[in-house]
Amino acid sequence: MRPSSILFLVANVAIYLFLLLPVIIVIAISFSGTDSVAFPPTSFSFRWFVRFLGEDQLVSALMVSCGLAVASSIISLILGGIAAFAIARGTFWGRSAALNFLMTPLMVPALVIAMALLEFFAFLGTPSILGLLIGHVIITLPYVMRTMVAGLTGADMLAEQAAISLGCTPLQAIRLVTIPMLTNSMVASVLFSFIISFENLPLSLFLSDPDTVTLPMQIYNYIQWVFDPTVAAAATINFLVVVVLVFVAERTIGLSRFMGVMK
Amino acid sequence: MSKVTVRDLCKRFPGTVGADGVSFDIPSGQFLTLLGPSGSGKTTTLMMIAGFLQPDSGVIEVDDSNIAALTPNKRNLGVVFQSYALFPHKTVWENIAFPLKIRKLAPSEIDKRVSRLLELVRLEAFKDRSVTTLSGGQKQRVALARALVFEPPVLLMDEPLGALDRKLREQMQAEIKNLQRSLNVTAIYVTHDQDEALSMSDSIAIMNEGKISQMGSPEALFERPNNRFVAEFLGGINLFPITAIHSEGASHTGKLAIADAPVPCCPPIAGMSEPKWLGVRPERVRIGSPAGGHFDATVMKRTYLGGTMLYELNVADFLLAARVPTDGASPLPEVGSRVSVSWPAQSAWPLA
Amino acid sequence: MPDRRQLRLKILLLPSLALMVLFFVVPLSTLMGTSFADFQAGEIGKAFSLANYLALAQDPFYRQIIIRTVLIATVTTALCVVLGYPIAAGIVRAYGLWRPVLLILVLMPLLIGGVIRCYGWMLILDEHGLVNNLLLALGIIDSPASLLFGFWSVVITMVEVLLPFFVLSMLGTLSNIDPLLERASLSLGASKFQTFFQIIFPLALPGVIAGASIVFSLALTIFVVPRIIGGPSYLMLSTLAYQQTSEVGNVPFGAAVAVLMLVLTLIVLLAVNRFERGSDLNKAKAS
Repeated sequence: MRPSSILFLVANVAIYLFLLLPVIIVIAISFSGTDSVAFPPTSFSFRWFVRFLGEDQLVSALMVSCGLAVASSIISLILGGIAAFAIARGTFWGRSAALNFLMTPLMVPALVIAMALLEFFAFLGTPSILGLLIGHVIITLPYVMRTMVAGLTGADMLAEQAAISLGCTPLQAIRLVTIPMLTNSMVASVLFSFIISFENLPLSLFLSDPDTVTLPMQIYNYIQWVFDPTVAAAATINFLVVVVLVFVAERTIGLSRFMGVMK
Repeated sequence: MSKVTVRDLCKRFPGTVGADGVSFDIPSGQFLTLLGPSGSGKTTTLMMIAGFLQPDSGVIEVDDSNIAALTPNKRNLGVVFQSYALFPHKTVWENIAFPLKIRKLAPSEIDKRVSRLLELVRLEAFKDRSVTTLSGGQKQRVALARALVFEPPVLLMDEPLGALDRKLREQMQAEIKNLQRSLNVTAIYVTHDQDEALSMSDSIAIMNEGKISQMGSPEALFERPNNRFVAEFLGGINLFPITAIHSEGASHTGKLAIADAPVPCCPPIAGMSEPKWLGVRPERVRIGSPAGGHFDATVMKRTYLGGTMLYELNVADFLLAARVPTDGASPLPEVGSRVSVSWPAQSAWPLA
Repeated sequence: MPDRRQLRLKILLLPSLALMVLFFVVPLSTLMGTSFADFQAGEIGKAFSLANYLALAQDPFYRQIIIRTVLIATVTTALCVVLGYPIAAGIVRAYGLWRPVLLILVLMPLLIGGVIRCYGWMLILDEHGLVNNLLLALGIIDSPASLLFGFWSVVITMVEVLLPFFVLSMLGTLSNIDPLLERASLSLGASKFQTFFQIIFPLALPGVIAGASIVFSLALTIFVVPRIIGGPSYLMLSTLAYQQTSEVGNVPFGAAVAVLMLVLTLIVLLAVNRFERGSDLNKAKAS
């Protein structure tokens, strides 16, 4: 190897270490056998995971987060999927304007969206859980739009036409040809939506009430007041959820191909 | 203009042969083609000469100095790539001037040389165009001009016409050949297209599994291949299994597995292993009225190909091909008829 | 018939458009309206007032927060470019199984989210964290000191949190650069250094600018990092907006800060848009 290649390799390894360092630290601390969050931990145990399961607040926050992420990604997929279909297949005026409009939440800071919704829902008297759900749909919709429009504008228009020429009605063609071909895009949409929703802090900070605290918010609350590794255990569980999702996505749809969708 | 010598060039890749002891000499100003199927080691060899691959062992000399240890930018060789590799953010003129600017030539000298090359490739009118707007043929001419403008002693070309359509290819073959001759540069050309190799080269090295199978002039390779791979790769060939070769003075005969009477053939090449086949090109097979040749066969199929008629003949369940000119001088028997098959002795080659 | 199909397709757009208008456009407009309300003795007034914006522009305390936010975003962006470019180039060059593995290594922190990574950085930077323990063990310092709540701790954490965004937005441009261009440049006599600065980097520049603009606009408005690592004493615009809205109860002023963040984001996006259009124009002229 030439010296420049060695330098390049060393730099890359160092940057990856920097990128992964906080996650590695959190995971290491969650298996600590002592009460302190000092690094490196001096002994090994699973006790903080046991403790986590006993902390109602953390477990219920995990449940709220999962429920919210599942519900908002499904709603976003349905709303965004049919909107993307209209934009990809339509020839009417204003299609690209509509798409740009549906993508704007990406350009507005999540904190600003949360503040706007706080004021608005307070005025309407909307229940917290419904407000959170709407907020999460708004921030996940652009990811669904981007993935689904890209999927729909691929070469598959021809397959739809072929199905119609073979005797399908347009609706049958969509059900039997288009939707199965879009499986990958739909899986990717749901995955991105789930994760975007699952890790969002600002919306919960403004819209949650004591019964609808999400996991990121509960972790955020804990780390300000509680200095034992229970939170690290919660974070490790969160990490495992993501790892499983990513692994499944990579095996089924080749996640790497959908990377461009994340901003 | 320089001579190039390559000695025992080896490159192993995990799981595949790259190059396995490749050696050749190219006299100054000559055009050598490395011809072979994909994976035969021809591009590997070229990339080692260019310096993009480090050989495991071997010597690469240009005018008797070994360049194997130099980095690519110090080798001063022109390289033309299949995908052109033009710099998309530069104009035609800037692309061609790039190597001269790197060499810090005076602006007037750069202007003079770039203009000359633009004229040679007939792109004067395009000099300020972005290269992304050019057609495939124009892009390839820019790539050639860029690789030649700094007057490298040797020009390396890696399937430069692979992306062009057939008509344009033929036109570009002639242009490359003309440029190479008029600038008197030694050329090494890689292709898998035998027509290209035959029409452009002073000599051809046919490569197979990392080795040079046979090297020689196009005529020599086509008219007397010395092994089965070369015979099959360069033009089609009928391979008749033989059981023995008999020699009586200057005349040689082979005993075919499919016919009783021995048939005339060339002498085996000295030192070759026991020949197992007689190879006869379809163009050299003559067909005539029954019982007038080496043996008789039945016409199974004929296909009109314009200048020639391609026959598929059956003798004892062995299928052979013959190409007969459609000039009216030769008879063109119908499907199903019996014909005799013969060939001149010098066109039947014992092959191992 | 085609008209009816187009009409049906338009109807499919309605639910999302309605949702967006009702729960995005209307609330944002209301927020902007609120930012022009006055706030006196704990009450939100009805009168139109520019007081919030004037305070932001004139009060040295708020001015300092704006300057700090822009400065942190600038330094963060510069570091993301320097650290992200080699990572993106490495992924583009990687072959076989390495490519998806490296991609996932970059994606993973992004998917785990900012809160947990900030927690990780807390564990690294605070009084009993990795850095202090390391420095103590090496005898460089005698007593531990928290490294949180300052410029560099915020920048380091922010770079780590935003780096994946830069890498991901670079990848498209970088992988569209023909790897043969580097070989071609070398064969024409250019050194590796010349090849990088004259050939590769100019072609990668649109990707660098796109990535940098995403990182810059996120850095201007991100909340998690300044909230957890910066704390209440080292405010940035996002934490100021939160503090004013939730803790002080001055909703109009919080709204004004939010609108300022929105405007800054839009300026960045418009500037980049203009640059892109400019480079398209140059291309068109050249052809």
